[in-house]
Amino acid sequence: MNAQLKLFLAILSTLILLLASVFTALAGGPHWQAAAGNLVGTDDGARVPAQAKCTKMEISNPSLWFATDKEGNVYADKIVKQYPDGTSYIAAGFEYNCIPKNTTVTVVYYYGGFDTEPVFTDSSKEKATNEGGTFWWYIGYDDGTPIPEGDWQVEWYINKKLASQGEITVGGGTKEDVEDIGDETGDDEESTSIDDIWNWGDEEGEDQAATVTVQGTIVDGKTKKPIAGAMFIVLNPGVGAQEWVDAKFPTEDVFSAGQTDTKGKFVLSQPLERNVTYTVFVVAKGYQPIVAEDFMIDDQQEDPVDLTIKMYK
Amino acid sequence: MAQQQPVVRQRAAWWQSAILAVVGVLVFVGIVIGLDAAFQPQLTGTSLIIVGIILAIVPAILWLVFFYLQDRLEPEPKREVFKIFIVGLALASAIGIPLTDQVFRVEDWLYRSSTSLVLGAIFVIGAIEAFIIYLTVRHFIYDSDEFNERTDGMVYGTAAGLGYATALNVQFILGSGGAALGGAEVFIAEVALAHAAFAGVLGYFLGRAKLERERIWWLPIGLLLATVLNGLFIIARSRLESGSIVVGAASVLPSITGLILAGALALVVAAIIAALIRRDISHTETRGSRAAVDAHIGDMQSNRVTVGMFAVLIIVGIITAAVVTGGMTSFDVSGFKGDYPAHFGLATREGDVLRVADTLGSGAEFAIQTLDLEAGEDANRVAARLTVQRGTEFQAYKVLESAETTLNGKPALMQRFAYVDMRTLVKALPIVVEGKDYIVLDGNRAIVITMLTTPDNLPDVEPQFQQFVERLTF
Repeated sequence: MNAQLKLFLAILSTLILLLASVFTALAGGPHWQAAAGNLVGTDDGARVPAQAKCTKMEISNPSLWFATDKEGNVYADKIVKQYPDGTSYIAAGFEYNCIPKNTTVTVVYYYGGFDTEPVFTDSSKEKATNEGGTFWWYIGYDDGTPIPEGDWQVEWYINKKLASQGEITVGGGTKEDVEDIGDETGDDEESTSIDDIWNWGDEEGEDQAATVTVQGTIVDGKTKKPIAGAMFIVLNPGVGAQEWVDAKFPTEDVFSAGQTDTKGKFVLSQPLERNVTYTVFVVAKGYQPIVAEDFMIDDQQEDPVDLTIKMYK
Repeated sequence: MAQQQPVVRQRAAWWQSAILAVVGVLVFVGIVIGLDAAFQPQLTGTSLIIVGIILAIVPAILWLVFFYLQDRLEPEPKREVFKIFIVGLALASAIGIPLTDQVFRVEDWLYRSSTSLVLGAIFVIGAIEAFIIYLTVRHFIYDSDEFNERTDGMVYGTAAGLGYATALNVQFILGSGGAALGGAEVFIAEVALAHAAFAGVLGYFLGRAKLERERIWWLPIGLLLATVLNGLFIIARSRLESGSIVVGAASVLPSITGLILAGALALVVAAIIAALIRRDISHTETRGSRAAVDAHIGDMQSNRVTVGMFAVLIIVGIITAAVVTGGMTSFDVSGFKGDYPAHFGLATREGDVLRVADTLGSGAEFAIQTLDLEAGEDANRVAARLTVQRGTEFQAYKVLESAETTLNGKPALMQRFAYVDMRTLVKALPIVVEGKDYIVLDGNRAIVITMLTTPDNLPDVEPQFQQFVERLTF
């Protein structure tokens, strides 16, 4: 028994190691998304003096940090001292006097200290200009999930020479931590209020519409592959599942329905009312039908409601 | 008398190895789920299929290795055990799976009702799988001298069952073009454990049949038991694992209720068989073997009765399939009489005489409409009217084919058409609809009988529509 157990464990651990290496090699997960932005000719020479002919690029040091929203938009007129909870993107940047020819800007992001492995680095060759402006480089996850909270660092290199550094805390920031430099310069343009940018904590108080669009994806529970041609059927309120099946599923009892495309996606033809109980059938050829007699969208759910439905053979 | 003395040595440890095998398979599945959830490997195309196939084979191989390790005192030759595994796999691929999937097309109708599920699971899937496993052991190892212990029936039965399971699993991976690894591995292990369990039951019956003189009904009972056990497992799993609707993204962790059920079944079966074999051995030790002097004749009869038992089971399966898929519902509306497939439901809308739809299946629709004829209008003019009407209602309406024919002895125009239905609104791809009309002139009205389906479902739906049209009287 003991020798057999050892052999068994040996086989199992070999298999585990093999699999682990295959999985590690193929590992994906969320990816970083990043992009540089450059606003030339902003009237903010107050910080860095402009030059008639550009010979050397001077940039603000320490690095500035700009406000961002959930979509990854950067607001270069709003300097942030600390990012709030749930931040998806951060944007480090600087103001510059001008850009000479053949200038390459390199950004290096760190999380947890300059002595750690860089989280992200990239370079970009910038077009020469005699005007000053604002430059930034934002990063975040490509699926928009919040980035880890804690201290983030950035280094800026101009033509491979360290030109600026900066550090910021993600998490705990409030609207008090935002300095609006757009107003300072007497900009005529209406600038977006930080209340509209950092509004992701305020949604609860908003009025909910009485009806919601229901959409979703229907997948095979085992393979996670989309099921094409599946039907999501919602019966009129008050019509029960058994009653409908006994009546040979007449379509006049159907309140709303949607059929999936080849990507398994559907949108209900008719929006559903909140806080109303519906009977729902999900059917697809070759799969066990799903019957839910107490399907309800409550006030907590956002519009549109996105469902994920797993079906089994 | 050169009679071979049955081996009565008791292997206290073999059922422990069954437990070890179940635990080993479960641990392996747990690791695959863990790795899949942790790393979420982005596999596509061929690499996904290759990894899938490897994962499809591993549980069966793991199981066989454990069993082999335990069977050390008088090991079955590796070649023989492996041969039975391969024969089980081959017969499943060549006969079993084509029978259930292509001939009976079980998937199309199994879930139409509770009755179809129970009868289909037992009398079609259960019976075919059990019989293939019986054939594998009975005809490829049973008569061999290597089959000389009670536990041998179990070992070879399980090997054949795992061969069948592996065929199902490889087909599952190929059929779905690869699969999410964690979820797929749960299913693969579930299939392997369940098949090991009921094939083990059948193996126990075969083992005793070989080594003791059993009554003629012994093997048929074994086949019946394995059949019912397999069917009940399918029913129980479908009841436990019937799908889910969640708001937002689904959990990355797959559902494991079916796997727990299969693991429990395998352990319970292993424990029961262990107890039975132990009892059998002590009986043999106290009373001596009851093995037949010339077992051959009894064997042949028993084999025939087993085949007969399968015939009975499968006949019930055939009747079930015929009733479920071929059932018709009669109608008599506004002078139109006929039958439509029983699994279709009424979907009559304004302007229809009758409309029926396969709402809970393919979504196909059959409709009867009448149009008032204007002076001098013929079938082609009616077809043109339909074109205008559908052309405004749908996108890209096209008549693909048009031919003159007769219906109920009356001249008729048949046309095939296709269009794009945008009913899925935003964020979903439009659906291509393919259809067929019969336009019959009847006095001062035109009768339009229409079929609507998708190109994928057309081969299945069209014969049903032809039957619907042929049975129609007006």
